[in-house]
Amino acid sequence: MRTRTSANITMLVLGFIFLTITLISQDADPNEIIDNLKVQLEKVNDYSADIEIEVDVSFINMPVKHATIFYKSPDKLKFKSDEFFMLPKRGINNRFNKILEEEYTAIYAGSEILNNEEHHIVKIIPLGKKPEIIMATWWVNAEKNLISKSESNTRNEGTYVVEFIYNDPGITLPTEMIFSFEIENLNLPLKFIGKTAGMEFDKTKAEGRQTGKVFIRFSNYVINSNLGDELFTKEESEK
Amino acid sequence: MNTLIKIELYKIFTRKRSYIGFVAVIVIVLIAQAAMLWEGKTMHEFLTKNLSEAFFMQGNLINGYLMTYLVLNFLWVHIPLLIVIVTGDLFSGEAHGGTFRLILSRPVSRFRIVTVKFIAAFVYTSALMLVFAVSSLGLGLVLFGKGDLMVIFKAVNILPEHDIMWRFILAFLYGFLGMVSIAALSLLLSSMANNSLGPILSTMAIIILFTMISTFDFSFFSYIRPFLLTSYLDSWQLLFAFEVNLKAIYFDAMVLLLHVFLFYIITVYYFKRKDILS
Repeated sequence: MRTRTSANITMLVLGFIFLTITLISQDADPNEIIDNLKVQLEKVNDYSADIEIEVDVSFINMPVKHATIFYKSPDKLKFKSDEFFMLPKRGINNRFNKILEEEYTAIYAGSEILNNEEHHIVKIIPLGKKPEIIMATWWVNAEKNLISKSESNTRNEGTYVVEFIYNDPGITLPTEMIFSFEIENLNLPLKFIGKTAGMEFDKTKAEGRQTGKVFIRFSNYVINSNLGDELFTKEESEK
Repeated sequence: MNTLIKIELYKIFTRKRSYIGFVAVIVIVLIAQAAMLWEGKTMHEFLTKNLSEAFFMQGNLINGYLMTYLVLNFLWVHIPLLIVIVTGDLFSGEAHGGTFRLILSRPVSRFRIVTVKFIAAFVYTSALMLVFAVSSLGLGLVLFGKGDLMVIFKAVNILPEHDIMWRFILAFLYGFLGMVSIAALSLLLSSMANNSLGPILSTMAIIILFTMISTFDFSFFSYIRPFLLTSYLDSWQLLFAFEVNLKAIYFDAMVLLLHVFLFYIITVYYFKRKDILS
């Protein structure tokens, strides 16, 4: 008798949890979130900005670098700088517009508080033929309709996470982007190019993968200035 | 003293073999730079293959600084030979030719002769190093231009363009000190010999043997390594670390200087007692 009662209670609790999840899930329509997001994204057709690049990978020592970024929707991207710089290949070319231009399925995956603000979690599954991004998860600010975080699972480049920080309330573009990604550790013929005698080279670190981070800080945005396509041609890039 | 130094330098620079070093340095640098011009990009791609899989890179990394850095690595092994060809003959050549009897019949002390020969050897070494520095760095910058320097030293270090030149100046100065210590060793051996070939070959044999011991990563050698001159010759590379440990470089430079001083003292001691009549 007691066993039957506890089983009933368990069923009731599970039923309640399921009902709650269902009700919460029904609160947010992923397509509506995406539509609101599209409105924000479509506000920016092109932009240029000064960027500051900071690489945080254990085996790379690079001072903070400066460059100018040029972007034109949906996926044209170019950098100009007198200095040498490195940027992560994964995620630098935000494909939000590109993904949304093609066929996809959006799934609402709940909500989460990020930086004291409520965010919808939306999973996007591109439906094209062999899309590079297999699934993207976006944390969309419920109030501002801006992406605060994205996690992309790619076909060839593993998984990477990009966080977006918006500190300029006047614009819908991030003032800082933080890229987190996995990277193969250094595997270079050190003997060939450097003094190695007495070198404290940690062999365990030299093998396997580790997480790297790249911080890109944006300033002096110039938005929708009708950047010409010729700016993004190869010849122009080589200048 | 000045007159003696001038005479000694005159003797060095009127011998054809003294120019072998200059010609060899220029030819080697030219060949190395040409090879870099031809294959530099491929080599750089090979070195940065790992990075280029994860990173998009933009900027001129195949530049004069990288070329100079690579040429420096190749050439440190060969420059001692070019120096020893000349300095290894300074005492033994005169002993072989019998000119010491003539010189020492003049009112010149043996201490002065040793000092003058050491100074002349250092002047020759500095001239060779100057030609090496100007040809490698100067030509490198003319052919390949400026830019940031990527050095793989414990990690991938990207040194900004404005932070490079002082490193090269100190590296060449350190290199000069290293070569001076080799010259001093050859002078010591030269003072003990009566023919030219012996001290030249024995200096090179010592350098090759010590370099092998310095390079092999056997634990047995780790006890010997701190006492070998060659263990300190390549410390100029420490100048290309992202954060330079000047204390360590200063210590290594002092060890080299101590070697020079020791070789000089032993040479003076030995030469003062040397029988020049036999």
